[in-house]
Amino acid sequence: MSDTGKSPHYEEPPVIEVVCGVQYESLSQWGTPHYGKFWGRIEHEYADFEEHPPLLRAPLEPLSSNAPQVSSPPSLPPLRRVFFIQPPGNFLIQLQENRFLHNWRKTKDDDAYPRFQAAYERFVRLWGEFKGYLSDAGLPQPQPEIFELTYINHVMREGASFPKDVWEFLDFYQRNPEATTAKEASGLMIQFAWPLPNDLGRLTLDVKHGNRISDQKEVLLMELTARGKGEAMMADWFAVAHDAIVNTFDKLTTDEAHKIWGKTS
Amino acid sequence: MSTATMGPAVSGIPRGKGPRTGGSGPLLAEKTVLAAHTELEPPFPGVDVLSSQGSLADSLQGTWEQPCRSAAASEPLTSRDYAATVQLITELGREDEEEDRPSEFALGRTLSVLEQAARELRLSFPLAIVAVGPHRSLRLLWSSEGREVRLVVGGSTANKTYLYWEGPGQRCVDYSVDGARLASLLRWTLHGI
Repeated sequence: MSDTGKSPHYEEPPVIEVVCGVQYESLSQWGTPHYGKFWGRIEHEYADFEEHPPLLRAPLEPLSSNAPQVSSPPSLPPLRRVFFIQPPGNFLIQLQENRFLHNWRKTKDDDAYPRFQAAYERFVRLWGEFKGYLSDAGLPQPQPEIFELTYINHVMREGASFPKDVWEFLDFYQRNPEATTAKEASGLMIQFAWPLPNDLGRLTLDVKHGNRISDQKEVLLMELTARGKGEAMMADWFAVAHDAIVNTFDKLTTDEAHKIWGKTS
Repeated sequence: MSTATMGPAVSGIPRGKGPRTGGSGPLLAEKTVLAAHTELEPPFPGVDVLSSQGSLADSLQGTWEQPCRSAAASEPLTSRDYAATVQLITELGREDEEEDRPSEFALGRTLSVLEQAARELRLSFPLAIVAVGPHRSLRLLWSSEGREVRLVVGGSTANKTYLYWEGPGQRCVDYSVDGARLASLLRWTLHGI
């Protein structure tokens, strides 16, 4: 993958999850047994599994006003989405009949982010393994529709309360608007979308806040997702998407926050 | 923390120990707050007691709820209302009189079910009204737009633990209690789906 070398670097970035993925046309002949047969090829590395409901088909453009996706009723329930998990749980594959995703996720506070290059290389290797399985099984090759790269950041500081303290970390407004009650805002949700360079897709930012289940700590959630048509060269698209995400994150966050995260370049 | 003081004790709930509703003002209409006090030892007259099959929760699970996000976080975020609900329960556990405190069994089972539900509902977990009931059981109530869900966790294994829900034209009890089922019912309560 080409590296533009323009990305900022943080010693302790607040990223807790990175997802690289491909959405493709549902594979004809793909059925329940194929999950197990594919698992047989990777079980030595991804030894655990979980079953989840399938993800909705991702649109490249946002659906207006949460419009429902219309399709004819299926004759069978949809196939599951299966997680193949590498113990202790930091890396996992999500597989369903039209989606292949590879996640790195933080499972403990002291888990170090392995950096994008390592996460991406794993995704490429496992995507190749999946295509190899399909070929060996006599199934058609997936035709990519959409590439996806997602970064999920948990911004935290001891004693911080959101949305009150959000502008200590985000740099694009100064403060929360005041309503007629003169009380602090109790909730905040922000979404922005921008086109990716060279019309390679769309970058979205979602900002919300919530509490960790384990310790109730307050967290500002910043999710940056790039999606683009699966027509480009995959490596080139992910390089553009990665640059867009990390540079946008850097641009939208404050110098004070950069110090907390140990920005070095 | 606000503690509502009710009139006469109802069905074994100690006098003066009303349900906890959090500090952000009344969530539910008075009618439903009163309902939280009502003794609900099943079976209820006129209520269909269902096994784990064929219930409304099963039909809800049959809608194949599909998430949109590709995230698989091991530590998903939940709402401030989840934290507030846990806080209300924790405070009940610190009541001076033993009979006003939920049992260790009820506390542990309730928090476990709520955590499972919070992992599914994430930021949409709603605030509950909580109260201690007979035999030091814990009772939680959620209500919205004519739909209502109650989680009752018995004080011990000898007491019944169940989910009760009602909406227009239907009332059901289910003794198969887990976080996934509660999450489905709360989605139904909040969104009608």
